[in-house]
Amino acid sequence: MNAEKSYLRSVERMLHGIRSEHRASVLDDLRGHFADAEEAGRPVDETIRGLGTPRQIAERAVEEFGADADAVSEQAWRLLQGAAIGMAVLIGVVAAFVLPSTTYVSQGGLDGTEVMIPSSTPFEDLGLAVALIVLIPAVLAAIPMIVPRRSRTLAAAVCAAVLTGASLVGGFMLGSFFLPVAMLAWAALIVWHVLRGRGFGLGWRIAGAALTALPMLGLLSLFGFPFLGGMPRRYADYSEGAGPSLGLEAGGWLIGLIVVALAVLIAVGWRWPGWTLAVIGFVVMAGGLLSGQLVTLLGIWLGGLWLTVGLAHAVSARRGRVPKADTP
Amino acid sequence: MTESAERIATNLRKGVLEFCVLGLLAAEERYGLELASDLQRRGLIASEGSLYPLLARMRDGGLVETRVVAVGGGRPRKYYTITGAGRVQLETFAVVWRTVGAEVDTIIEGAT
Repeated sequence: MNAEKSYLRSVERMLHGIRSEHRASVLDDLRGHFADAEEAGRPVDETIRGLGTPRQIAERAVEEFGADADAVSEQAWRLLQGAAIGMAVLIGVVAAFVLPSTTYVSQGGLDGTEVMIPSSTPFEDLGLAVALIVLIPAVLAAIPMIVPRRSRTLAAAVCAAVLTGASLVGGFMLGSFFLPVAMLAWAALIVWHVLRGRGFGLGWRIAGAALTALPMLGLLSLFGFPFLGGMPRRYADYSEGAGPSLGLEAGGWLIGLIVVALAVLIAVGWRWPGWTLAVIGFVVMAGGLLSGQLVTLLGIWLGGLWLTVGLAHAVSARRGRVPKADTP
Repeated sequence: MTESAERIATNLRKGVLEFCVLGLLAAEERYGLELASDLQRRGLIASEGSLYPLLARMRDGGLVETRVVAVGGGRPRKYYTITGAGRVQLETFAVVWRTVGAEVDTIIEGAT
């Protein structure tokens, strides 16, 4: 029974690019096949051997129905839009309940030096109202999910534009924390349209790789090349040891190198570097969210960018090999 | 079978499998396992599982339809039957097959 279940689950996974009614029909027939075979006294493992591998069934299904562009693009869109909603909730919760706002406090010396010290969280300052405000981006990201399909493009574009506006107008205030949500929302809309059309070619992949690698080059030019005389400086050097490190030390450079390598692999068209980049992006974002102060925003934007590009690539890269035509 | 014979057989079967299914269903209605075992015994499919995407597409195209019958223990079993459109398709195939087959036979006999 377990072997049957895991076989059917595996077929279901492999048929994800097929329209749902076709998938349901094939799975229904396979269930009937198992039941009839059992009744006829065939052992389960023999039935499975006779059916062939789930991949063979999936390849046959692609031959029969063609890779269903509609189902693939719908799934990719849902994943990216879902990620935008999840990210909005996560950032909102952290921003309202965890992140301390900072206040300048005079040290009282003659020179009037001020230092930033963390004070209370927005929730402690403003109460429950702030919880409702920080959930607005999540609601905005969710709207395109519930409107009818024919209004989706308009709804998604308007919501993404509002999210972008709020992120940019927000300056260094709370609104700017939500830029990754806006990036994910735009990526969802673009991926949905391009997958239903001509699909992502080399040009798109190079653009994604450039977006991924560009911040690293920017940081390089800002802090100097570590092997060419320029010391990998830290933010702390500028703030006379009072500020946090920007993390551009050995570990930071290693991550940078990995990210650039992933960008190249993404341009080549491999799929897994997309997932890896998304995970790195998420970790950088989480690190930024929890570190507090200036690095926060850098981490959120940089991590958000990598998360967006990585996810968008992973869900839109071609799945497996496309079965060849019947040429001998 | 040698590798090249296998490849030739695979390509030929791909083109005719749909009509063999129609032919078997024209004689009597069948359920999935029955049909799959029969086709495999005749060497027309390599693995039984590949039949089901084909059946789903044929039903989509209106060549076959299904009828659900309760069998032992009240379990539903799906029977496939041929439709009018399926019979027309089968007759068209029969004409084409005879013409093509005869020509292929003539050519092969002259060459070997």
